[in-house]
Amino acid sequence: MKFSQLALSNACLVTLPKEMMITQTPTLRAAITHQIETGCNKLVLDLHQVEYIDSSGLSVLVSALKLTQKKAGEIILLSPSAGVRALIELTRLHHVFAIYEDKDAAIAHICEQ
Amino acid sequence: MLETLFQQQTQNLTILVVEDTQSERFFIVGLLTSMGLNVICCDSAEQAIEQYPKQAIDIVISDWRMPGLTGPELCLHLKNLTSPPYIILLTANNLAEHIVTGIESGADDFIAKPFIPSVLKVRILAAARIVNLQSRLSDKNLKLNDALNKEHAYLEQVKDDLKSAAQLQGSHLPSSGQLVNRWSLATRFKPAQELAGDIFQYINIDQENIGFYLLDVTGHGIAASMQSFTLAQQLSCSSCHWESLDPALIVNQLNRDFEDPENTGRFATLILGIANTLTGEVKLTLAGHPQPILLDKHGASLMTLDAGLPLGIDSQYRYKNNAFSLKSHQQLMLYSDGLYECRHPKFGEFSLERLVNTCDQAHQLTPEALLHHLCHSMELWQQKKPQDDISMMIISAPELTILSSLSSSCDDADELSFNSLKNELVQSDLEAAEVDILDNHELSVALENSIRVSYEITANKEDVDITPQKTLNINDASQGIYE
Repeated sequence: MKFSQLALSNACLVTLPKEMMITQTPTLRAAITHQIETGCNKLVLDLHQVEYIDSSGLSVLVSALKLTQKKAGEIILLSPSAGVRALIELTRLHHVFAIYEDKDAAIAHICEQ
Repeated sequence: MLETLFQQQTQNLTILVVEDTQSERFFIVGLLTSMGLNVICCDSAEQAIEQYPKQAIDIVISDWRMPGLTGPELCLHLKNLTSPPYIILLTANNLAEHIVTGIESGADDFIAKPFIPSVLKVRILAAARIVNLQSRLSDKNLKLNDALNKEHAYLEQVKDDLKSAAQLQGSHLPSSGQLVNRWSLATRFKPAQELAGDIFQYINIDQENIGFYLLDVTGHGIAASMQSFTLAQQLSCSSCHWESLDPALIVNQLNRDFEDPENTGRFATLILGIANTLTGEVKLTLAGHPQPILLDKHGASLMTLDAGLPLGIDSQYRYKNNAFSLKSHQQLMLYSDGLYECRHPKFGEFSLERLVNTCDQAHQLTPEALLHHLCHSMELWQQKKPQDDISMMIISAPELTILSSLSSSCDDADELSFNSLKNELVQSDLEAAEVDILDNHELSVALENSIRVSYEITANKEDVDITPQKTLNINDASQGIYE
């Protein structure tokens, strides 16, 4: 997982790893929660590397969403692979997440004041 | 300065001097005593070996050449004991070969004779440092071991607790059997760890209506199972409005009460329905849950019902009902995502598509045999390392007289002989195995075997539920082929 600061001081691009399964989720959740708690309330979660995700992996996305909402921030999901998108759609979570395919557009959106 | 340090380091230490020459022995013992040390002496290595276990000795100073056992031989002996002392050898010369022999035999230090008393003193100081360090380390080790034993006992206790909690959880789940008005239920439950985040149940609402649900809390283990227990508690008959016959209402309420105090983003997917056992009318609400599979005499298909968000995402979300009818002999299969998300190291995820295909090819099996077949296929796919909780539930409608005009005249299918069915089944499964599983010969053989065995149970026992004993034997047989 990688955090890259964006043009806006409270915005950040988070590149998520290949696997988001039950064994990795506590670490991932802690890192993202820390990022949000320390003031970064606008996140682009880049999913293009994610090949495997299970429901506990999805719960990391959900916890990030709820936390940023509490802090008047925003979350964007970027470029999920077909498999990951299928799971997001199967669980109907595409109704609550903004999903972008284009990285520049996602970054431009999150950096809007 | 050196004096205080020496006294601090050497207090409580006991030194054994081994020297055959009386004058030398007196000299060394005199020196050491004047330094304030506890000293014992022996005039031979043999006597030292006899003395050593009788007292707590920290440092041994031994002459090299003695009648009987030599200094290095004494070293060898003492260093083989469980608590060996620190050993200083006295040598008459400083030859390299002496040093090599000495170190090989286990000596820690050497002093060449004749020696200056102050040199002996600092060598003893160095020895004392090491002896003290060792004793501190062994004290700590003892404490660590003690703590480890306590932790171990605690862990065992927790494991026992988990095991009994798991038994409790398992005992709360419904087992296969007959429901009201000749409807029937078949279930399977395979937790990934002791405790599962899956839970399912059916409820007799009144003479006519049955309620049922299957829910899956994200993750597995203790926290997930506590959450699913809480949800199941809320869905238990007395505290839930089943009599409203409105699944959406029940799910709305459940969603409003969903708690995630640690903000872990935990959520639950749920499928909840109510069926009228006389008319076959079903109302279903889906909350982020995979679509149920509809099975009948013609095959299996994934339903396409309207589905809402999982529980715990948006407390104000309004869920919808889906209404449809189960016709005579149709079956509704509910399952958790662990069933199709399990991964094979080479072939990847089992996938929903493969699940539906597998059900389609095996749709002629009785519900019980189908669940057995699916479980076995999953076990093979996961290489017997459970990844997520798996739960399955098949609700079967009997001959429904009220809707009999609607059910198609497919009774002819019953006339097909067992052999032709069996051939067809094995053939289609073989093809499927080749296409789906590519070159994994073992897996395809095992899957083929599993479906055949499952089918034979059905044929031999003529749609009577298989007994647990039977299941076990057949499982062993088919696994044997795989291995």
